[in-house]
Amino acid sequence: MPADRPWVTVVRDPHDTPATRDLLARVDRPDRAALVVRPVPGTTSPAMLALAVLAALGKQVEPQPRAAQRQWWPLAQAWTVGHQIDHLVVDRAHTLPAHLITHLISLAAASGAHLWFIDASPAHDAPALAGLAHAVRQRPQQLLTITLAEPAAGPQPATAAPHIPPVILPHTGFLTFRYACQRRLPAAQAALVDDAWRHTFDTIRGWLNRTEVFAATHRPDPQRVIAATRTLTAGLSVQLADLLYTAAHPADALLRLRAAQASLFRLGLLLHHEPRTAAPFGGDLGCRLTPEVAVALNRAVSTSAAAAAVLQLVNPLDGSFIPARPQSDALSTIEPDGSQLHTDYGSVPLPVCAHAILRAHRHFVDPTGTAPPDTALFTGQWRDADNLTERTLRRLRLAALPTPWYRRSRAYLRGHATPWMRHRGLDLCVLAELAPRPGHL
Amino acid sequence: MTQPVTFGADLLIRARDHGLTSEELADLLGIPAARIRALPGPEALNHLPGALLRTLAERLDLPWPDWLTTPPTWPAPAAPHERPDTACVHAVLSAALGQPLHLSEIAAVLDWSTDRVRAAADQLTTRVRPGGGTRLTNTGDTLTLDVAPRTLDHAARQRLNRLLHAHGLGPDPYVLHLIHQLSDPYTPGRYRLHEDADLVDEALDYQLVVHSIEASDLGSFHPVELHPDVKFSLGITQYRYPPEDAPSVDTGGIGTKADSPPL
Repeated sequence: MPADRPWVTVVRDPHDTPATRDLLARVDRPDRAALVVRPVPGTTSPAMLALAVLAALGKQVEPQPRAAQRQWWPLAQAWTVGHQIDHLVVDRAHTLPAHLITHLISLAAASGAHLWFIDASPAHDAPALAGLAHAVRQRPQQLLTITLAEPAAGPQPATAAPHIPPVILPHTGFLTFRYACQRRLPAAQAALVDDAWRHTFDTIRGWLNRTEVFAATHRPDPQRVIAATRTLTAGLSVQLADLLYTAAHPADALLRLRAAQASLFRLGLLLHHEPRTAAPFGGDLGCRLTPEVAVALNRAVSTSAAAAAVLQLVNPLDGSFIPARPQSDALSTIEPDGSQLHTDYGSVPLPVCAHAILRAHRHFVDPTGTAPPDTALFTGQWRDADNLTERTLRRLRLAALPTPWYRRSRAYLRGHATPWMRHRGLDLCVLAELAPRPGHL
Repeated sequence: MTQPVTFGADLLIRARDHGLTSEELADLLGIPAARIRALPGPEALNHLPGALLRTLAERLDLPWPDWLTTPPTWPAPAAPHERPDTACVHAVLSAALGQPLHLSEIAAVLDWSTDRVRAAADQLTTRVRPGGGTRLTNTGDTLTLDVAPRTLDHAARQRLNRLLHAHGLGPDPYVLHLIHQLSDPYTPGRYRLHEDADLVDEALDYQLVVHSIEASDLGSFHPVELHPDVKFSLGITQYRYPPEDAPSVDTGGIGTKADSPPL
């Protein structure tokens, strides 16, 4: 079947039986890539059909979206592509006019879905459906094949380092952490922990060796390192995001942080960790875009609102820290499948729950896939705005994310930190800056 | 540069040998640690009350006149091996207040079998009464002793958490600079740091450094080197606990590239 001619099946149900209703209820599983669209009676315009598609995808369409009506259909199409729907079932399709049938066929073609029309007209085929020459006619029982189909394997979380089992790690700083793990954990767990520790230690060491300031020598002039701290901080944010987003659980994240601290310390950099919340140790290091928050953001109709909030939650860099460059929010910063965020300092693997939102927004911005890579991802209010997450969540009448409350210790120098690092109680300074001066105590 | 060993410095070393940090000694005597170190002789303590000197003598295991010593009339506390198992488990949980501890962790702390800890934990769970200010949560293999709900109001808890948070941050940042200097044998001027006795004292208190046996022959004041645990935790050496079982091997840094100079 050509890419622009999706598989179309017309399911004849002339008696409109309750059994078919039950079958459709079983089929309707967007999480398994099967979607049942139920147009309201009297649907005659693409905008009304778009609302039905959006509602089927779990979007909040009551009250009606604020976006202009002409945007509703492109939004519905973007979200359908974003969620990678394999089976698009349209209930009571016999009530739809021919031009909406054409719209649905184009939607299925764009998302690569198998299109099913439920034709419950009592006497004969609905005129709009009768003209579909390439469509296959089936009985309602054929819908069972959708429920039996194995869901496609979803993207697996990226793994930057070996994971450790969810053990209780010692509450010690990086100066004694590795030893404390060896001392306190059973031998089998200690060996796994040490392997993971070494892996992260080497990863950070390798990254530092590739940075401009450490590439030539391991012992550069301290003033040169101090001058480069801002750049190092930006790069470190990306490296840490890569490590912490792929951690399996808080203990995994804490282990990676401690190993990174030790690795940086060896080269004269102090990554100070001062947790900002009373969360369990390591619990506030991971990605703020949790599956629960993603579910909430997924209710937004606007792909811009949802994607802007996602990027604010996952982006380890921030315009306020790194001067925004023209292409900093370009289309090319997001991998087409939504799995990675590309920055000037490296790529960040994104949580699986973010992929659908970013895929949808990419499709919304570039539906044909032909836009130049530097096309802006956001326009108007969604560009360079603060508190996007809170704003999006507030629109959805959901609570804002908790904010940190520990005050920072005054004993430590305030080092460099991106907002992403500051939220996790991390900042970076050069150890040479801590050289004691007369009368420091 | 060397510094003369004073009475006060000797006193600090003796205190440390008896498990008393310089801050604790300073608190006991009401004299800052820096001034203690400068005390020229024992007569400098003449102004202190007798009760305080007696406490000092007891803590540092110093002789005390017989006529001031009275024989104890109370029964000696039970030896650790005579105390009930439940009391030992309760003590471990109290020391780790609020931290969930796995049975195997408690077993490792007490050097018991896990079954023995489990039996004691089961007994303890039935004995701890509500209303005592604490709450014991037993979730299968994990025990947590915590402050009972509503014993402290939210504001008090927040103030306490802030206090504990500030205390739990670790050593003075300048100590970290000292540790880094000690971790890099090629750092210029690293030995000058050893002359900063207060920094060295704090690092010793945190068990981040130890007195260096090799350097003591040089006659320098407080020659120190990194504690073996810190060397291991910074990837400078490789050994598996217990360190006595396997000699430490200086790797110059784990994962150092073949073409990179060792740190």
